[in-house]
Amino acid sequence: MSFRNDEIGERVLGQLLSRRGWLLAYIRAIVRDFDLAEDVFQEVCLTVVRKRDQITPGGALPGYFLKVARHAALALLERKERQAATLPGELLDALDVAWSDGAKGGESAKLNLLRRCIDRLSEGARRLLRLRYEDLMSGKRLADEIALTTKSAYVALSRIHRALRECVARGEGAAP
Amino acid sequence: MSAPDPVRDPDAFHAWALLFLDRALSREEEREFQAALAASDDARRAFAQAAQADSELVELCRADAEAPRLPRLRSGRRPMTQLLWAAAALVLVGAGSILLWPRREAPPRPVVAVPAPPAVPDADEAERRDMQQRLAEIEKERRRQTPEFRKPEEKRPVEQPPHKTAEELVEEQKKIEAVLTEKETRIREKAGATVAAVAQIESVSGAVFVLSPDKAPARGGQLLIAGNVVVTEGDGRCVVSPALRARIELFGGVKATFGASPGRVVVQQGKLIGQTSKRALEIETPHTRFETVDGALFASVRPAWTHVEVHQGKVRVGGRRDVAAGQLALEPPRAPSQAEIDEAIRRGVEWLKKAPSPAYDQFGIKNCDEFILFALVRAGVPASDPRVAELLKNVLAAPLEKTYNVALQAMCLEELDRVRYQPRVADCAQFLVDNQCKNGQWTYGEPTPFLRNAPPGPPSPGPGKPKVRKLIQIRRMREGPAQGDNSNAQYAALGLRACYDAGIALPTETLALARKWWIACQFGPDPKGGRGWCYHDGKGKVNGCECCRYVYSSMTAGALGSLVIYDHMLRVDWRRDGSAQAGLEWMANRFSVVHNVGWGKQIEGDLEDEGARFYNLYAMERVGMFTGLEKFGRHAWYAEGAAVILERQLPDGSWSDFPRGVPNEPPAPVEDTCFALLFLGRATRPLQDLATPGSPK
Repeated sequence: MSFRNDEIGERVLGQLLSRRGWLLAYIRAIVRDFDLAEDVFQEVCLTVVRKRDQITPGGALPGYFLKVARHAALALLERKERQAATLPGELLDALDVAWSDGAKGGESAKLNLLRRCIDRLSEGARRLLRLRYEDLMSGKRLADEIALTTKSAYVALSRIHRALRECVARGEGAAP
Repeated sequence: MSAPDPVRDPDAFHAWALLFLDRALSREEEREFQAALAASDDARRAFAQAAQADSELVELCRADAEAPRLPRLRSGRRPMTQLLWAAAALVLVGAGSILLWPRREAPPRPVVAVPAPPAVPDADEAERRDMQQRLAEIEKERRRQTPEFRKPEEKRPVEQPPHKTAEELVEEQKKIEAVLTEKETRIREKAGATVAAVAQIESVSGAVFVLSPDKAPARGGQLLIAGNVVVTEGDGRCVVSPALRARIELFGGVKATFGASPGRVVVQQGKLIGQTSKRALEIETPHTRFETVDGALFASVRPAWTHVEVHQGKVRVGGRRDVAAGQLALEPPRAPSQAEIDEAIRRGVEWLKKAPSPAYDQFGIKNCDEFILFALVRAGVPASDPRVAELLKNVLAAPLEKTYNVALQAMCLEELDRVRYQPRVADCAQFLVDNQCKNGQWTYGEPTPFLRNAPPGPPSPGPGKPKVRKLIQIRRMREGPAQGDNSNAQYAALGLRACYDAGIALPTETLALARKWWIACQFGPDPKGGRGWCYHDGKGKVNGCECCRYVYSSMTAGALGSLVIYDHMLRVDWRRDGSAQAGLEWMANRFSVVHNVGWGKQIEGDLEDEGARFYNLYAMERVGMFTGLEKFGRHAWYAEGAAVILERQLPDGSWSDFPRGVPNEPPAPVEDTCFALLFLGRATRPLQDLATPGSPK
């Protein structure tokens, strides 16, 4: 492998990894299973590094990543005979457009902000997050744990998401 | 119930999005939700936000996970194959290997990290792109101009401008590459640190280091970037995760490069266990590469081969064949290219020219001048070379005293000018004949008073071997001692063969007695088939040691070569010689270019077969050249041996086997370098009748 290919490959991979959460969310929207989504993301990584010689770093990359991810996700579902689980093709086309809006990259900084914003949440909200994301509880178990209906538990989660989103947008979690 | 409106009730819509992602909506609600997504951009954006927020929080929790843990494998149970694997690993690599078995599970974690921002495009990059494009064009044009790539019907369009010649293209290519290298270095410096980690060290015990490029102790949790080399020394152990749900356990003595190319681990040497669950794990060794996406394997990477055992799943070896669980694959080395061999010989010769000539006082051997001279001459160093001239002068001036020296002297002189030095070669023959033991062997030898000491003739004209003009008859003038050893005896055979080629008529009874000895002292049958030879006949002490009871490789090869020489000189077809065939069978069944098989037993009974390995390789080369066989059994002796020899060449160009295989024996770089050069250069000439009138020049 030549030196120049190495460097281009690193930059392409860098762009891919700086959008990991964004791409993982897209894949999950298709496969609707976090473990499967991780599998697909790894496939995308492998595809990108294998084709690094043919890829030029630049603005079109996020769209390319989406296409690779969609192809890999659908292929995986097909292998697992779970096509029924996913969204129709036209809807996926439309979702691609919505997803492209969020392809900003720089997620590590955002995660740092997010971490600090979580510290500002109430104890109850932090407990909910812990149960959901650290202990990986399903919605039903989560609801049982906090004595709510499943939908109420999800609404509570969505409110926490909104609070965090606003906190991050205001930059309140930034270090002094 | 219809899906909430994303604008009017964003929290409820967000909750529905999460429920949808978790498959917690009813079928009817799913349809409603999909209809809402199809209906508006707002709904799709809100859905994207919900999915991303969920994903970010999962990422965050995983990034905050404490101490490194072993990657979670898909199958939580331990099927029988896994247990068998663990047991096999335990047997193969010792009790420490049980530590590698995954006992606990941890959430999957990201394999890669991005500590540095991507470099900003600048003028250098633009220029670099242009240069790369031009290089691609040049390459294309060169391929077009190369006849084997040009299709017969291909015609260049008339409107294209005239192309540069191949030489001009090469020149332009070189210029661009020189500038490009500088530019790339500059761009890399600007870019700063590497951006992606390719693997993570999960756990470390003992002496484990990371070369990046400085050598530093490895630590658990350490991220590895492309090109990092992990070295385990002594009893060092290390578990590395090169991908999610993939792990490699490295045992002591491993040198592995992670991310040398993406998705791959390059293992230069050592033993390892690889395990992966639904992840591509690709391991490259000097001999092959193997990959699996859902399997477990044990691999041992040695200088001469890579040995892979598949314990679970399926492993693709060499990119072409699948090896299933319970099966093995043994991959021989890739044959080194002729250019690599030539370069190794060149470096070895340079070193040898300056090397001193060692003595073996315990055996009365004053120097190794003849051996060095023979190695240099057969490596193509001309007689006009100052070192060759000096050695030749010394050799001709020295008295004929010891079997090894005399035999090698005959080989040198026959090679340099067999007509000019024929009188001296005849003296060598006289020495060898007079020193033959009563049983047909030779020992270190004593000077004989029956030498003619005739001066050499004039130099032979022209290049190549001169034609022998006259035969010199040798008669046995005295009896040697009762017995000798097979090592001296094999070199005596080589010397006698040189004498024979130089037109020395040797006594038939000497040749017949020697042949009789080699047939008589063959041991066998070997449990694996065939028969071999040892240092003596296994009866009593020889040269002060009792190391004569076990057959070993170097002696078998040396003996077999000697037997074939005597068959040739006595006009016996070696293909019909049962002893020679049995010897070949032993060599095929016990073939190794790494070990001198059997050596450890014959020395101490429990040593590794690590003695006299270059001596062994040269003996094997002689058998291959004498018999014309390119393979011993399934083994291509030259390709495998050359790969090992190239692997073991030292930075200064020499070779020095270590450990020596004999307790307290010092290194012998001069001898080992001579053996290596003779092997690499295929120094042994095939057996053919050169001296009989009418035979080829």
